[in-house]
Amino acid sequence: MAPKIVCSLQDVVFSYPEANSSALDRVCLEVREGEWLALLGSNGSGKSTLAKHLNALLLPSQGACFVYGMDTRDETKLWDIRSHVAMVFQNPDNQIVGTVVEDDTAFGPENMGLPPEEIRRRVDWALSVTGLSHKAQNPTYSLSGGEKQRLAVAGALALDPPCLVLDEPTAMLDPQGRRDLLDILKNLHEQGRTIIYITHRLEETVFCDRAFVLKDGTVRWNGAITELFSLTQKLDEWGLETPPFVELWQMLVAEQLIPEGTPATVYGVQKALCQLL
Amino acid sequence: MSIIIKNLTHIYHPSTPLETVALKDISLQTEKGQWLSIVGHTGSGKSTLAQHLNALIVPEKGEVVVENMVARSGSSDLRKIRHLVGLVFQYPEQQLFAETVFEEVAFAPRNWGVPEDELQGVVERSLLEVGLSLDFLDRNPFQLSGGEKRRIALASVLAADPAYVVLDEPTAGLDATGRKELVRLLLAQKDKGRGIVFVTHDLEIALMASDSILVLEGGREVVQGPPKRIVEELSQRPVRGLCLPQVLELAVTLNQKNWSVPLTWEHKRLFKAIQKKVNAL
Repeated sequence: MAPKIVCSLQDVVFSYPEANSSALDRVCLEVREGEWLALLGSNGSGKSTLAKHLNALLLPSQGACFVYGMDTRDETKLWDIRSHVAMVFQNPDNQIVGTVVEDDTAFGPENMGLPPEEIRRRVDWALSVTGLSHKAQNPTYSLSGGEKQRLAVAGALALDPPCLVLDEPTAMLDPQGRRDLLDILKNLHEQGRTIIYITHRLEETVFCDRAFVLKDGTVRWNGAITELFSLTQKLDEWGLETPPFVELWQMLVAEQLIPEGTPATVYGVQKALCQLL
Repeated sequence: MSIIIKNLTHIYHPSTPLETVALKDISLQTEKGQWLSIVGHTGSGKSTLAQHLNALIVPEKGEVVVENMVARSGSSDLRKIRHLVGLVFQYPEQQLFAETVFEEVAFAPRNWGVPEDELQGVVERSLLEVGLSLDFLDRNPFQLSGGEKRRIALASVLAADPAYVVLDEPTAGLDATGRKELVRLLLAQKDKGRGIVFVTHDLEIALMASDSILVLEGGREVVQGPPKRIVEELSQRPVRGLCLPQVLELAVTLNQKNWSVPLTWEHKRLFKAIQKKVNAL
């Protein structure tokens, strides 16, 4: 059986009121269940605008957007759509509503009107997945930046959504916090959840299956991550800076020191190189 | 002409149940025209240290000396120290307050006694220095983008013509282009003779731009010195919350497999070493 379509954008055009040009211009995108999709683009490319279409925070000016087969313009489906696709924003402070960690995590499931024992189960699960169980009773203000971002993910997870959309979730984190968050997402992905990951950092997309690049509101690339990494000139043109490590990877591939399919990770490159000896 | 810190210890809420040692026995020295980076994980004490540099916090134990003036509470030198050392906060929102960019940038020089008829020139020069056009003068700083707000915050510190500029995690939330641009601006300021103190958890930028680096962990010094020294130390032992640049990490792991490549964070250099090694096979 073919995997389910999580969301499907069909020629979506979106313009903000009073803006001269469209933020999204005839964008087509299909995401399948279980995929980890990287949504890439520089500042102002339209990636956050696109993300907000995925749980009906924004509606297309033209074209259509379907989430699990539901038209996002259908108001009666709003809750259903949002319980399927949960969103994590860049700045966790915009998302945290509770004063105590576990209360904040319970906010979503409480709103859904779930029975108390189910809420308890989900909160415990979401906090353990994000490594915050030991902070369950702590006030939210006492958390570090990395912990707050993990709490934001826990809050989204407590809705038990099959699909998570994360909009530049690592912008405020230090390198360790960034790694921790990616590890959490990797686990969730392995459990079969669909992940749509928005970023401008190429080095954070190494675990993704597929990349989707936006520039000036239009789609510039849709394909496998490793293929994307070899498009040296295009990356510049799209305002995606190639991190030094990916440049090294590109040079090693170009000189045929490592095979083309080598993962662009330290471990992947090291393994490929050591096979030469 | 220098900033010298000797045996600085700082304890928040001393003699209470909340007592926290933020800094323990820290010493450092930096000069005008030098770039010092202070690197450490979240909670390592780097912001506390930054706030000592311009006497926002006056030392209780140890000594902070700026251009031969000792920071002591009640001392009339504190005002001079704050004029000499400008601090750019991590979040521009914590720093910005005025209704127009002009008022924002003019605030500090006006406070330090620059006459009104010279203010316009000072403000315009500061804006151009951070790469913003004069069209910004009448705009509301709060309606600008994140990168623009950060530049305004930097311009308003530069407008006071400080000898040193201290920046607390100035790259958080900036994209790659924004980060690169900021580093370029600061290197230009360094060439003009200002001292740069750059507080960050981004080891990659610190290694690329610094003359000297201080690495903190839990309020204590791990290692201090030029980038080369830092690389040697950090490839020996991991520091909490810090990650080596990936290029350097690859060099370290290759050396564990007896490749003996140079410990470098520059991709071209490592590439050449690998190429040479493979060709010699």
